[in-house]
Amino acid sequence: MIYVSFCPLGVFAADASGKEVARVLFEHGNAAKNLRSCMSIAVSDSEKKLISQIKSDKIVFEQKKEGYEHEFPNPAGEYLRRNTESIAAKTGFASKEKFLEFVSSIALQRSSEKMIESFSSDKLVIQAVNAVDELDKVLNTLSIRLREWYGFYFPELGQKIQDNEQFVNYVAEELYRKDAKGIQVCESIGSDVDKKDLEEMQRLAKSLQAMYSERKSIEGYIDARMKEIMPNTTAIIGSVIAARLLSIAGSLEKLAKFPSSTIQILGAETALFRHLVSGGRSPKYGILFQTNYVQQAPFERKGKMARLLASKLSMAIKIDFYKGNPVGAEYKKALDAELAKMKKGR
Amino acid sequence: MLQKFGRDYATKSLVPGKRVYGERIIRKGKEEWRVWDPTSSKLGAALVKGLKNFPIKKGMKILYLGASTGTTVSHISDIVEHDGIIYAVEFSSRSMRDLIPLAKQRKNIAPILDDARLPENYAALIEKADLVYCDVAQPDQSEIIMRNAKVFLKPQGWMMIAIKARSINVAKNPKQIYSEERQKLSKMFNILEQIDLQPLEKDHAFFVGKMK
Repeated sequence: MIYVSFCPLGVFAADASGKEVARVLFEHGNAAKNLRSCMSIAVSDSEKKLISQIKSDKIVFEQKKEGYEHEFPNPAGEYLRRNTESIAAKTGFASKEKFLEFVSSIALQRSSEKMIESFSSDKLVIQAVNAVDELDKVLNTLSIRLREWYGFYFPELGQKIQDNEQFVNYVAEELYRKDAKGIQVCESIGSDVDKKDLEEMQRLAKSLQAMYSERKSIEGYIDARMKEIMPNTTAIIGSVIAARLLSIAGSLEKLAKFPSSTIQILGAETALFRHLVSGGRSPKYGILFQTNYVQQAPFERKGKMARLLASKLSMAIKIDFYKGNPVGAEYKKALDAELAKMKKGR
Repeated sequence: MLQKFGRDYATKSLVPGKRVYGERIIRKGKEEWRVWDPTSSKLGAALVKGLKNFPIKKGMKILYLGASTGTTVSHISDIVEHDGIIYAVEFSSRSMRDLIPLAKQRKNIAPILDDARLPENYAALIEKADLVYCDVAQPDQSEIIMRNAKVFLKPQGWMMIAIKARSINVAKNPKQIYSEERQKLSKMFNILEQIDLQPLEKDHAFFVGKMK
């Protein structure tokens, strides 16, 4: 039996006692490329060359190889892990330092390649979801600031217009007080301020207006992107909540590997850990509470609805990740029927 | 090189003029020493808490599992210098984004983007190591270090591990978790030292041992 393994220097074969029987060295400039092809499951050129030098028919690789057995760790790998440095010295690396630098440059190349491969567009959507959340925070804080500020001049407006966006729009568009929504300007208890004071407030309002429109634009982007990335899930619960699930999980792959019980309570981590640590009641729903299904279910059935929804979602998410046939519409119909039954009290 | 400056530990910078994570720098003549921040590195915390066994030396080969963005790795890189190497395994591509620029500056860091649970994936890049360091915050972290030590650690080689109780079981008492993990690790290693990292790291213990 002959064992085969490889290292940044080349492909090596050894017998069961770990004695080297054959080797094929990589060309110096091509080491990274050769190493990469040895790491794939197909038999690489260097490995073919090595096999042709081996007389035994029973060849065992250290990594998975098409058409061959593999065993990790195996004697050839052990031989290499003990001796690569001394082999390197004999094959042209003048110093240990030079050799180590060569190894780390190969590792660096390999990791950079893998990093580029690991990118997927779900990560962009997650950033977009986080951007919306942060915009909401900033908009809320600064809108309240603007209310306080503008309140010196026109306090009645803040009381009348509760919605932040409408308030911002008013200040951005009207520099001076104007009769609006049943407020008489002449009755205002606000103090008169200079034009330059008002202009500064208006500038802030205009920035906020731009941020509100940016928020809408990101939401549109998330919606469009989610329909491409997770068409089935989006068909059931809509793009916003689907994107939030994705954002909590961290990636579509991770989300697809969650069991439905985890999906059911995603977003309720605090409650879950409280339950685990101090034995309180376990959460019935996390982010799924915001869906129409759980919202509309009768109070005592909300938990059941969350469980049903999570089970359908976990299937839909897996189909989204592994790119299966569309099932979103079918699952939605089943859930709608279930919700209708619950509402009737059955 | 590692040295104590008053209460702080610092390593002599291999790449003078470059900070890695915003650490404080002490200048001594032409030399530059990077202060090891015990609140952002668990090994740094263990030192401050009085770690007696500190086996890392110039010229060592080190397998580092869970390298993250390279805070601790950068100090070890200062210590092993250019005739040593750190195989820095990290599974998160986000952390790798910060580790790769560090490895470009410091030629003794070999970054490996892979799952530490699967040593067969990166075995081809690694030689036998003098020390295996593990800081992966996974429930099976003891199994992970043992699986790697079996393949990559020299006989009588060292191991260092930071046990994070909360990633093993949030509901259990950390002290109990430490003793359970210690038992698991004792199958393969002689545990020489155990340090509780409180209050620098919450619910963390640090073990140093030697392969049996």
